[in-house]
Amino acid sequence: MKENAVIKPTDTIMFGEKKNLAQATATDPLGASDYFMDMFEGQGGNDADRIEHGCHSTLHKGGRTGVSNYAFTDGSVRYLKYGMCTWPLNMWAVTTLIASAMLSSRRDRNDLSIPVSLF
Amino acid sequence: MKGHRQRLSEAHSGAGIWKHALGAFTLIELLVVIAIIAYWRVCFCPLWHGPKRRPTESNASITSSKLGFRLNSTRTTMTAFTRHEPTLIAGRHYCWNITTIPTCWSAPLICSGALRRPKPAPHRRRSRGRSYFINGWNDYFLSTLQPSDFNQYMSGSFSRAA
Repeated sequence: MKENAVIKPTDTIMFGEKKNLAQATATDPLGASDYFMDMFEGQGGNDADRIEHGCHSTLHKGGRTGVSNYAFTDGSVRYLKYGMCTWPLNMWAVTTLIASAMLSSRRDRNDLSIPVSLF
Repeated sequence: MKGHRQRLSEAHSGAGIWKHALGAFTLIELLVVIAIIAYWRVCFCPLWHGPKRRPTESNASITSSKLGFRLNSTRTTMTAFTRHEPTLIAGRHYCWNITTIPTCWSAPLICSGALRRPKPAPHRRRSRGRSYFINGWNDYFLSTLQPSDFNQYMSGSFSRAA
């Protein structure tokens, strides 16, 4: 993938924090060995089930608070509040269509004609 | 007239002076108490002052000759924190162990019981490590690859991705 394929480097995340899952489970066979944020994988996409949205500045893990650090394609590193990396703009996406489609539901992804076998 | 005489007699006898002195004494007493509290604070809580915190936070130029001094000074400050800030000590103590003397966990001879191993605070626990994600660029490859190639890419068997 060429770097100029990223339309909005400032708003496209390249590297982010993941939930710290130590071991694989029956429902999550990959466990901690999953290094790639695949938005067409897992339960609603890794951007919904694997990303640690509130890794810092929170007293109680698991709550919908806090911030996480992200490295963007333009080389900058910024922190985003809980959930702001996927809403209202999915910053993990490259293409404008998917980035702005708020891919939080399976129905939206089916509308984009993504193979069902991927889910 | 009688009241005037009484005030004069009180002034001559010193009662008025004592009343005035008692009011001033409470103010002086307050100042003395404040001074004592400030002195105790300086003595027992050295980490409240910036310059005394600096040795515990910098480790760039630490040498073996300074290690003993820094251990002692840090132990003093840690004791103060133990006494006054039980919540803060977990994070501070943890940072000290990691940044200043990394061998403290694995070399008990250096510590030799001088420092108690603290229980990290729940929100600062880092022993579990961190996990990170790299963007898989799924939407890009979805729009550029053929469906069969994209399925291979997602399954990790795409030949061009090797």
